[in-house]
Amino acid sequence: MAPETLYALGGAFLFVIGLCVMVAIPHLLRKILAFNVMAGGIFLILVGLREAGEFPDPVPQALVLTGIVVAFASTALAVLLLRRWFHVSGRATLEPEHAYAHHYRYGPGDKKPEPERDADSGSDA
Amino acid sequence: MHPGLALDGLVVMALVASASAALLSRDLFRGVVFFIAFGLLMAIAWVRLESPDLALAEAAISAGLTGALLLDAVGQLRDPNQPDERVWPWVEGGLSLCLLAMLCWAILGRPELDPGLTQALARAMETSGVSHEVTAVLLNFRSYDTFLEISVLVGTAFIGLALQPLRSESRLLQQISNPLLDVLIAWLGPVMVMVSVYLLWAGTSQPGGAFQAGALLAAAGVLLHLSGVTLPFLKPGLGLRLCLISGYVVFLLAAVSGPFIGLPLFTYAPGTAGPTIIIIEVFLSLSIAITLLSLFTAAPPTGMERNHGA
Repeated sequence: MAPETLYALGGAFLFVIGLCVMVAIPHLLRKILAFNVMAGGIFLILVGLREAGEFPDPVPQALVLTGIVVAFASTALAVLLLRRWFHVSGRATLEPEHAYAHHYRYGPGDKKPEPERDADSGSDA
Repeated sequence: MHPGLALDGLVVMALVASASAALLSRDLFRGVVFFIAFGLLMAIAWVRLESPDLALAEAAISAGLTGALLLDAVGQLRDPNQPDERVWPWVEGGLSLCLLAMLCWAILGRPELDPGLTQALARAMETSGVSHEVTAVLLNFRSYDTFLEISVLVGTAFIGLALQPLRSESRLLQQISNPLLDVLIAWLGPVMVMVSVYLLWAGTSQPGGAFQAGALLAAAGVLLHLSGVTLPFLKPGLGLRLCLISGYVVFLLAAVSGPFIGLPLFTYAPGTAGPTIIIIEVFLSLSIAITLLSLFTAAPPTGMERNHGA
């Protein structure tokens, strides 16, 4: 098997792992990590699918270079949105509150829920 | 058996392992560190695939800038009582395995590839103005794609700046009074700027170019920012806006200069392709550097987070 095909197969693995995690795990930063892994997998497939031993084709390389930069810009914007969301809501997921209610931290004016088992979690008011 | 196949197999296995560790480890910080390792392994993979431009860009942007960005975010998003996410996704896992099987079947069973555009490209290289093929493709033959890319970057920069909180002073990071860090910045800062200018110039005949140069400049800016040095040119104002759009405007001017002399759009005048590409690349790398840097620094500053963990 040519080495390029090996990288293309590795790219397929990365894409599928990233897709699975992106769909399954609700934490937003993990979704952003998964998006980057998926992008890396696709780039490997793009450049890896070429004739064995031939001169490397510059056109997919140019496309992937563009893709790397745009992927970083998208990641930066996504992280910015995530941090604004965290600043506004206090959560790092888009799941509704009651799913993680026992871990939700409250500000000074909110009504606290029933006391939790571990006493140090709600201590910073 | 290809001589380098064992090394390539190791690199691919390390890629898959580090990606899985990055995505599936419990501690978010550890996941991000593995992601940085994943970026560096990707750079090695690009070297093995004979794409040095991609290796440079991947190391600078994906491992360096994205890693720094995610580490910064993890520090702010830390939630010690993170809920346990050990629900094993059977449905998604099963569907992903089917997708993986289909992809592998497609990759392994592909028909004979035609040579693509390599021969047409080799014939057209004399008229391109540069001697490095990837630069020629990026800034001459497929300059439309690069133009769209810089438009996307400008768009994200403005969205990022619009999302900045109203307290518009730059982040007052605590001054880390570490003499080693001061010396490191004093030495590394100018070296990074010099290397970035070299990469920009060398991109015409060797691997390099505007993107790598811009990313390296942005990395220098990020280093200064994270060490507590205030960067006055990042305050929202006319200077910042001019720098952000300069790459886009110069590229647009070069693109529409064709129709003024009877050539199609995005066609440079014959004989001027070389200087035009250099000028475009200079403003492009400046724009990219300022864009990536301001996307990095536009996040809400420390202390304004509602649930700071410490």
